[in-house]
Amino acid sequence: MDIGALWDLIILQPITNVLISLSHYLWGSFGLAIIVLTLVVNGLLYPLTLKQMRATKASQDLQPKLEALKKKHGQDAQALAQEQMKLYSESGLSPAGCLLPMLIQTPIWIALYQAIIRVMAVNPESFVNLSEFLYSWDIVYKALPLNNNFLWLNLAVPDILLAILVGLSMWIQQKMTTTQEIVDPQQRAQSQTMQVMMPLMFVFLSMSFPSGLALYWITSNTIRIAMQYFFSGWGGLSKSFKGLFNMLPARKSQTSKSRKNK
Amino acid sequence: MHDVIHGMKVATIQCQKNINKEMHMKIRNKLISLSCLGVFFIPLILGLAGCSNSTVQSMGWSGVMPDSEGVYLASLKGNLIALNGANGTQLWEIPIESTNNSGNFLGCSTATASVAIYGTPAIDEDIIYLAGYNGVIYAYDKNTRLSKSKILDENDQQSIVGSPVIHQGILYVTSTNGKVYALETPSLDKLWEFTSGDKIWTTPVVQGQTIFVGSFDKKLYALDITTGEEKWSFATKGAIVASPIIDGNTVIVASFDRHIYALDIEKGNLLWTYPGSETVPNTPQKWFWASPVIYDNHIYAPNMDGNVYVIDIQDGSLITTFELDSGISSSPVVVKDKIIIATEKGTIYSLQAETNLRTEIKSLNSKVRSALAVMSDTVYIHTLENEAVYALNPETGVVYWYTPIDE
Repeated sequence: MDIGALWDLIILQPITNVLISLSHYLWGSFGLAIIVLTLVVNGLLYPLTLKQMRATKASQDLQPKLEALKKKHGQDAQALAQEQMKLYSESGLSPAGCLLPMLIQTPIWIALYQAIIRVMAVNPESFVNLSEFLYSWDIVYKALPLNNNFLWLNLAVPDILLAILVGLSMWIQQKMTTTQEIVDPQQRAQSQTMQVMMPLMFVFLSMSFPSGLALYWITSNTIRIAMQYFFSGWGGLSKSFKGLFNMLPARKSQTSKSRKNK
Repeated sequence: MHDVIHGMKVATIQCQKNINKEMHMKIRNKLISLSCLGVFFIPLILGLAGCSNSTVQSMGWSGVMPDSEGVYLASLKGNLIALNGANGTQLWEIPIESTNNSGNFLGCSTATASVAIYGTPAIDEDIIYLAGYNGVIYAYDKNTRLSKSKILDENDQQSIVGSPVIHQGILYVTSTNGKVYALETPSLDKLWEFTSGDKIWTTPVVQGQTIFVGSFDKKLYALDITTGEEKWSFATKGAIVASPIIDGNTVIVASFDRHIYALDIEKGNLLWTYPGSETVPNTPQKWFWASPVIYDNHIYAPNMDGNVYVIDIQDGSLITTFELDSGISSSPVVVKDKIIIATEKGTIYSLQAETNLRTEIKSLNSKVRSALAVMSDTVYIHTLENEAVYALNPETGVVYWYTPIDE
């Protein structure tokens, strides 16, 4: 059995059938099924997400100290490297701390997105292919074909408004993740480019794929925004909208204070 | 997702810092940056590339229509092709004109530049009718090759999957907007339309003064052929894609709910169901996509699970099951006393329930989804991978001719 078939059997097929069954219990609404499954998957991945957020935050908090070391040691690369290593080991941070949770989460997101695309089966070819993925559960056969209408959307075709919302929510979430100003101009430029390019890329993707997928991305982004807010407040977003955020509760400062107290 | 991206950036930076010891660290840092970013972007790209498997392009799978002069089909590249029925040489080829070219970003969508045709062409008085997935009906003169086209409904984005059917000069077409249309030929002016509760992919079947159509709304409709008014409808528990078949006063319909229903033709009353309420061994596991055929009071119902269920038309009891090598989405044909059927893998079988005989007559090693066609004891098959048309002898499996398409 090749890796593709194994992937389908172990990951994609179960998600596909659960998604279809969920639709049946949610009044036949595929849109609701996407939202609920995204919530459930996010819930299951919460410990990993939290770990990743902590690692990201900790490494960002380390940036000013790293910059100070740079200034202190200047051209002495060896001394700088030694001090940096020392700082990392003191803070208990692994340079690849964010990687493991990410490596585990990414295949699940990909499987979820593939399942949504597959279940929507927008043309006869996709529909025939879907047949190979179905368990012989009665409920699956009763639920299909799914109702693609959700709110104002036909989930099988792209929607411009939803695409814009995907980009916007992604940009907000990225901004919130940045809690510390990046001092290094090269890194700052790289970070700023990413913060613009990634949302734009996903806007274009959303305009090319069925809007069911965009619904999944928006749901996922919204959950991440909420999680990020409760973890570290508005982060870099507050700097972008200073006036507006002065009127909102200062979640970040509360979080910082409570951490200091600890 | 953005958390992941940001985490990746931070990890990248950390990777860079960590190897700062060397003088040529810049080059190494760049390499490590790329590797770290690759951990995220490679799966992302691979995942998105998965759209090529998940969101399949609409290519079509036109059936073959033979007549006394030639063999006609629409190719996957969107051409109407005429072949010589005797030897398979190409007589002519016309591009099917696309009225809308809506290819999407990254080419990862269902839209295609060429017109996808899923149904079998219909021929009436030298005019070939095609129904396009772009919602357009095409009419081509076989002799002059002049064409005429008509968008089925200007105000409604739709597609046509079922074959057009000609009956007494009227063209009947079904559409994904849930409608059945009756069009006058050759003008293609609309005579009537009927709206069901969901999209329709079935090829309509005309019997006497009634037209039968199955819908994704899970119902089979019997409509008056002259007015389009509903005579009766019967609700199954699954969408209906397979065309119904008729035997005397009985209408047989196979549904996505994995059941076969026999209905009274006049009122639509249920006569029997297979499988019934009792537990039956060897029950169908997947959809009935292809239309069943009837021979000698036996219904041969192909299923996507790779089995052909042979059922007694009188009471719906299972007579036998033929296990084939893969799922079946291509509608079979009856030739003399045998059923000729093609599987998704491209294996052609001959089935005979009376003798319980299953014979593999030919392996084409290429996907078959189009309905098979038969004329003068020759079976015509349109294969999708390595697109070609085969004319073969259903008794011996000998290929009379084979023509690659749009090479």
